[in-house]
Amino acid sequence: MSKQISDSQLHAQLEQLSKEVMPERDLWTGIEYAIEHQSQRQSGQTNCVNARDTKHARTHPLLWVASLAIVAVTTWFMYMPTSNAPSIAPSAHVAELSPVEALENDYLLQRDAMLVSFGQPDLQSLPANIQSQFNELNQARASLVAALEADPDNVNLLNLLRWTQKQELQLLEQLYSPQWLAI
Amino acid sequence: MSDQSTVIDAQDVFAQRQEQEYIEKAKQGNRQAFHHLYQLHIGRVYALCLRMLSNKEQAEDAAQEVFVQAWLKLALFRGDSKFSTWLHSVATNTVLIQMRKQKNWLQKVLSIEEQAPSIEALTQQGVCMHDLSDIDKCVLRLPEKARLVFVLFAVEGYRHEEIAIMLNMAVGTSKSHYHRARNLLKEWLQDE
Repeated sequence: MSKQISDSQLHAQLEQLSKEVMPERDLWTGIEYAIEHQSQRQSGQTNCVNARDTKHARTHPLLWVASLAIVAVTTWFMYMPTSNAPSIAPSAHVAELSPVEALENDYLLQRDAMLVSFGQPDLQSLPANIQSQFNELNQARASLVAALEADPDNVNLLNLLRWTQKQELQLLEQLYSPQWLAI
Repeated sequence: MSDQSTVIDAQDVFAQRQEQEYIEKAKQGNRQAFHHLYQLHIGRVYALCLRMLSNKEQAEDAAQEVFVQAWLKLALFRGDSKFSTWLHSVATNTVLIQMRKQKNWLQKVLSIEEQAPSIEALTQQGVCMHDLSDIDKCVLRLPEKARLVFVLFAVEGYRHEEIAIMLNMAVGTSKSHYHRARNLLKEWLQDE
């Protein structure tokens, strides 16, 4: 067993324990800085809270008006008569069309609208390479439509047809869009 | 003899009144008055921080944080106890919070305590061992939990029930840490 001092000796040593130990560096500078920073942050937070309250109070009625307006517009769009928008294809008519016919109709409508917006350009006067791209896409589309006549519910073929139509429309947009012409 | 004790009492009363004045002024936001309070108490606060943390730099940071917290909570001091007692409770809590923050998640989950630093390590940290008494040197070398319990019980005068709450341990555990600390100190002081 290791040697130890007695309890009374320990007690005596404890009595000698200095109550104060001074730090080697001045800590006040840091404390003062922290206090200053803290006060600024608190006053900043108070200002922010006040400003936020005032702004909140001001914008509160506006938010209500905006919410009501959104609800009204959404409701109007949901229940507006479809006869006002015949170009979007009447719902009754769509119900009678097969998926292939619906896709083709939609594509032709979009293409015609696009060409009208570009001033009805003459597609025959396009450069040869562009013409060949158009022809390839047209042929692919025609093949897909033919294939879908035999298998009208084939989802993969329908997706492929939609993709081909999209490619044609994108090519047209690239050719005649004003931003491309400007370059 | 009687005259001498009267003089001492008068000085004490004067110092207390002076401190009371500083406290009132500091409560109203007077930083100069708070600086006086800092000068009066930094020695004891730093001693507590150093003994609890056993690390010079951490003790300095903790002492600064104690006075920042004291400034922020000064309005809560109602004068029911002595200012020094109140300040020491602020210091104890601040140090314990700082110690918890410094522990990584593994130490927290497994309750791993820091290894007791050697005299060489303490000297390398910049702790002036020459300025400290033999018992202070030994206290700084105690394992973390034993050191905390010993400082809070034997130096600061807290009861084991209070220490158990502060350190989130059973009262019996606090007592056993205290006995361990005592035995280690008695052994080390024999060697000094």
